[in-house]
Formats: sequence, C-alpha cells, structure tokens
Amino acid sequence: MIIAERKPLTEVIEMLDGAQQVTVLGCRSCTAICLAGGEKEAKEMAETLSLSSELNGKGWDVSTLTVERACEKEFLAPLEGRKGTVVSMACGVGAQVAQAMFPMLNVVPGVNTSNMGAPESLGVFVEKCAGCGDCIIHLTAGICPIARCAKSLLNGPCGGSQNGKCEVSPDTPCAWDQIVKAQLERGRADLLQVIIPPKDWRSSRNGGPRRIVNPEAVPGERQKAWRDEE
Amino acid sequence: MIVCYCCSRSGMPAALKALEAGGLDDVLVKEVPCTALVEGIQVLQDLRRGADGVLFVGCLLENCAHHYGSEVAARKAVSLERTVRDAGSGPGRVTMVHLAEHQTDRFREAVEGLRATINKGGGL
Repeated sequence: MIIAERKPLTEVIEMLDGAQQVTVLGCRSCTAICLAGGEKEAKEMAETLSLSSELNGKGWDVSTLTVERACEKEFLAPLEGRKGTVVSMACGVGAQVAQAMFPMLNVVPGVNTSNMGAPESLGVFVEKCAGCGDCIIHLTAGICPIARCAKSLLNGPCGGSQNGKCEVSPDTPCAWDQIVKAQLERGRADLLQVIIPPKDWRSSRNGGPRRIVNPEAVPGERQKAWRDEE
Repeated sequence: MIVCYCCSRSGMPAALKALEAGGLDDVLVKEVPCTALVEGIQVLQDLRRGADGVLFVGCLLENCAHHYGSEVAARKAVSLERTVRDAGSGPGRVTMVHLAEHQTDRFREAVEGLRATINKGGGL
C-alpha cells in the first residue's frame, strides 16, 4: 500500500490562505491504513482547521468528505458541486485524480506521500517496494534490494553491513544480510551464487510517467459503443 | 471552562471528591472508561464549543487499570497540545495528569496549573 504521513498543520494552514470554502477529503484506502488520511484523520483535520479559522478570523467554511478510493474517478463523484479548496488526505495519486476531475477546485495536499510499504508493527510502516518495474525478488528471498538496501545493490552485502545492520543507521537492517540469512534458512544457498546482472532501469523512473496497459481490460469498439450509449 | 476527561477507575473518583470540596466551578467532568479512548476530535470540539483547556485525568502509569491506556492517552495529549498550538491557541491548553483515585489534591493542582496556564496566555 501507499504510505503517507500527515503534513505539519502550519503548512496546511499556509496553503489555505485566502480560501473560503474548504473540503477535507479523506480516503478509506491506503492513507487510512497508515493512519494519515482516513475518515477519522479527515474529520480531525476539519475540526482543527475550523478551530484555527475561528481563532484567527479566517472565515473558512470547513466540511469533510471521505471516499472509498480517491485514486479512482468513480469514487470521487461526491465531490461534484463542491467549491473552493480541497485539502486532500489521500495520497498524491488521489489528490491528482481529484484535481484532474474537478479543475475548478484548488486541491492542496494534506499529507506527504512517501513510499510503497507495509505496516511493520503498531504505528510503524516500512518501505518494501521501489516500483522499479522489473521485479527480481525470486532471486532475493522475497526481499527487495532496490527498496530495502540503502545502495540498492543487486549483489550484496557491501562492506557497510555490520552485525546485520546497515551503515546508514543502526536502526536500519541490512537487506542483504536478511537475504543471505533467509536463503541459507531455506536451503537455497545456490541462489546466492547467481550474479544478478546490471539492471535495465528503463522500466523505472526514466522517460516520464509510466503507463501500464492491460489489453484484456481495454474496451474494444463494440464495448466502447455500448458504454457510450449508456 | 476546563473539560476534564476522567478515567472511571482513577480520575473520576478523584475529581468527584475534589468537586465536593468546592472551588472548581469552571470544571466540566466527563467520565470515560479509559483516557486512551478519548478521540482527538472530541477535544477539538470541546475547544471550539468554548472550553479554555482540556485535561486528561488518567491512572498512574505504573498502575493503569487498562495496563497501558494511560500511556497512550499521555501521547495523545502531547500530540493534541501541539495541534491546538499550531492552530493558533496559546501553549499548554491540552495536558494530562496521572493519579490514583484517592489523590484529590493532585487533581486540584492539575486543574489550577492548567487554569494558570490559560490565564497567562489570555484564553484561547
């Protein structure tokens, strides 16, 4: 899932300078799970902005709306008819979809979108995937070295690995130490002999926004015509 | 007005005894099963409705009836204090006191401390 964290309130307040109608948009998907922008957080943000408005005489008319998934147009229909500024508690994707769907609204981010990760323990979320577009975790015991190694080494560990920790921080586990231990435990030491060749980064952050097309799901001519009639 | 969220095990008995003794007319007591259950939105709504400060009154950290509820509430109070300050209020409007049910004086001191902070900052 996408991991985000709440933006400092002072930043959000600054972005609302001159606003009148403010809608705080929550999302019940990823940002709800990482406790940054779900229904509860959106309502709390709305209440905080109302308090701030009253204390500072800003005159904001604050309301809140939470949708199932802000990154899908279908779920954003309830935004129709709203005016002014939208504080998006959804991830950067949701905020952009909302802005594209309703160009007359001013969508501002209420969270900082960080990475693709998973909950590690209560309140702790860790990056797991870098979205490089060419997955190799079958060779690395299901541990992504691109996202979880500070140097994104394809063959490791490096000399900075000490006692299972990475040299960048004593709190950061060395991904390659984890990979080696996991492969030995699984009896797959042979995979450690495989030299992973230099990566073809063209599928990663290179050449603008990436586009994935699933031909099965793209409507054909008849389907399109039928849908248009509807 | 000071809103006090009181744990039914510790804060509530202490608050009731303190209220009986008088001198706390500006205190509104709200009983909760555990202070950890107080939601941020409730505190923010209290402040918007005219409360000058909010006090969490929970168990002693080492003797919490819900094991760690008092600890959770303390973190919540710190975070809410920051939020309310960033929203534009004076500092120290949300705080927490840990006490046992017989520590009536501790409750009174906490209320007086919060009242002094509010008066120093000139209300919300």
